[in-house]
Amino acid sequence: MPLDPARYAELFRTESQDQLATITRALLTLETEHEGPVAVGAVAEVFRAVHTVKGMSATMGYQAVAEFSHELESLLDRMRGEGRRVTPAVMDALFAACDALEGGIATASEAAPRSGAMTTALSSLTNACRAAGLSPIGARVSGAMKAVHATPAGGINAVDGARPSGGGGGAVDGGGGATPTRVMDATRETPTDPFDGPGVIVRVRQAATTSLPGVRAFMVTKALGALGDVAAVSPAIEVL
Amino acid sequence: MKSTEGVLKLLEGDVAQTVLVCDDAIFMRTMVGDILQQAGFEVVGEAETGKDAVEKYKMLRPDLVTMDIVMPDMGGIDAVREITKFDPNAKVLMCSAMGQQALVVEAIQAGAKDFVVKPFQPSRVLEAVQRVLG
Repeated sequence: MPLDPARYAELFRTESQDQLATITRALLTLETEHEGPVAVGAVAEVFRAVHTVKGMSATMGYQAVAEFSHELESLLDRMRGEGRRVTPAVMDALFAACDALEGGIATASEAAPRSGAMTTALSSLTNACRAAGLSPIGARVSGAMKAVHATPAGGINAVDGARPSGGGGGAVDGGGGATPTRVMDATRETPTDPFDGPGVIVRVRQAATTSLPGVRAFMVTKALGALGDVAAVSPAIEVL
Repeated sequence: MKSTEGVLKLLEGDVAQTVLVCDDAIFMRTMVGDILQQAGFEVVGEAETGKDAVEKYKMLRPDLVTMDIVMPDMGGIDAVREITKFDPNAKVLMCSAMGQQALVVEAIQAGAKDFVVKPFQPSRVLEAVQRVLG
């Protein structure tokens, strides 16, 4: 049941123009209110508009605009979270980024490469944010759970390796709708292995195509928690 | 697709299941609505803010809600929290974007049943819907 991208192209153009207008309005607000709640609200508004453009362009297959929006959104997210004073250099870079986004939208197509204006704008904004004391973009944690283990005693252990089970364990599809394609190697790294206790090891295998595997692993753990006590999870829930 | 057939089977011989589509972008509401309508659902309402979503849920009591995360005037996660407070059995499917893992986890904790990641592929949306409606 394919959807025809042409049906949405006009909608993309129209709505992108609305979002650009929103961004411009918010930047003008930000130009007069460099800090405080109004500034934070303006940054949040720019963030939302860029986020919307990202979603639409990714759906249309306009990769250059989608990737530019994604990187811009990441910087805005940190600006929003840290609530720092917006410096003139950051302001200039944000206006340049808005112009670059507008240009990208105007020429958007599946084949269109990232423009020089986009590259320059991102570089300028990154540098300006760094100079303004904004924390750098850190590496995101990827926390896919790899396996889980369960026992007749009612305890449920989640482990990060498919350990050789004596028949008490059961495999669970980690979701995502595709066939599991891999089983992780069984290794014990901690001297006090929580999986040595009573319980059943439940192994969960996720397909390579699973979207947001860390979230799916979290959902599996949550579902297991409804069946019994989850004695241990590896990687830890916090990491997932 | 097996899952698509599964969703369609749910509808066989029955009145179409109803859905409330929540997203601040018309583009996304249109696309999600098209995907679900082609699968036999009836889109009974649309909402472009979280607040609007909560109000429309209470009024329409749809079988399914698709919920964007980033929306003005109450985000999608708070909307899920309000909706599940009103109806613990509400079936909400989160519409996420790349880089929103932590927010999706928060949404699941708030009561959302599952998620789908943009850019949308109709088959993936319908698979997620099938998991939500069980």
